Amino acid sequence: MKGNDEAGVSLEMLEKRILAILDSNSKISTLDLVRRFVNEGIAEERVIEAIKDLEDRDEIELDENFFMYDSFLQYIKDVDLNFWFYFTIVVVVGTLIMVFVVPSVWPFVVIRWVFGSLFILFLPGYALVNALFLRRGDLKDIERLALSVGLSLAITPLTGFLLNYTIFGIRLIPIIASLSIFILGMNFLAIYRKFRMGRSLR
Amino acid sequence: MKNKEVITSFIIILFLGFIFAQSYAIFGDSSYRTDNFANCLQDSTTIDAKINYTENEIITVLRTLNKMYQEKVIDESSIAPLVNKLNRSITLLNKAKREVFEGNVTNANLYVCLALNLTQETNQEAVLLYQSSMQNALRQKIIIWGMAPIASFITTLLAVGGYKWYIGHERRKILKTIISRKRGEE
Repeated sequence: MKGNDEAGVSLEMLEKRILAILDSNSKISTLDLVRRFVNEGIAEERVIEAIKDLEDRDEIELDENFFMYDSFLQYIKDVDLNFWFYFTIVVVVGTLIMVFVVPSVWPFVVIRWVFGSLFILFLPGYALVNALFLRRGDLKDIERLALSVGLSLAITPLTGFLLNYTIFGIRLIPIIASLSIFILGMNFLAIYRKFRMGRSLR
Repeated sequence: MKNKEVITSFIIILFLGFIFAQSYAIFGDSSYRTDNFANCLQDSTTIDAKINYTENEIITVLRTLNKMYQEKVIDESSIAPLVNKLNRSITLLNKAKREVFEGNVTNANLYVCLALNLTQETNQEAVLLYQSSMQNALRQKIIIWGMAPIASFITTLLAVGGYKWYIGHERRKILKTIISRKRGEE
């Protein structure tokens, strides 16, 4: 049994009311929807919980609200929405610092392992997935994670394979440089494509 | 509340630092006895007694080396030079026994004293090596056990802070979306 909150509305009832509102409005800002219920005395966390529940059950769709941004710069500055973008950059820069600046001795070597693992086994695929699947609802979090790891395992050896046929060869610096360029390139492509898609939806 | 946490952490770190410093004081340098080769040569003890004494010394060193090997406090490559020295001592002792058999007491005395000197040298090195490796192992244990509470404290703080941030981040992210009914596939 789902419990009632302070306004005496159960989660089930709240979800039904949200769906009724969405049936009469094709699209509505989540902020407006939440405010509507908050004005009735229902807790914000409760409404967000109901929205997440409905999204998990595939009954509703959540898309980024591009009406809030007038320019690409304004969009890119939104850390909450583009956390993935900043996370990727931080890990790439962190890896470069760990490899070229910090000595490879205990205990720094542990941090190097963490950054290195993310850099090789997660980020290449993650950046590519973000560039390919732009909408929030395209993939679930667990699918995004699995695909990111799987694609990284494919991209990293391929990068080495291509490097083998160049004058640089399979060495530390060429591998780090090529993967960094790939990850950052895909990252910027992803955020730009997301912004353009949002503009076209507007 | 936050000041209390900081003070508690500081006291913990101070306490661990104190323990670490003490570990150096407890396991400082040890001194040991050395027998002089010249003294052995001039010693009036019978050659048989000297041979017996040297044999006992060799057995002692062998036991020390075996103990080090069994306890795995040191790797094989570090024990190898000591084993070689001990082998040389045994060879010298065998030569001394042969000289005794042939009636050359002077030569026998020389060989047995060389063997004894080498054995005692090996013994000293083995004891030193054992002590230093035990000291290092203990110091490492103290560091690891000392770091464990600090690492857990930091991890807990990071996990709690991270979780709180994630909840807030998810909330802010959802509030910046447009919501609609899912279409198709029904």
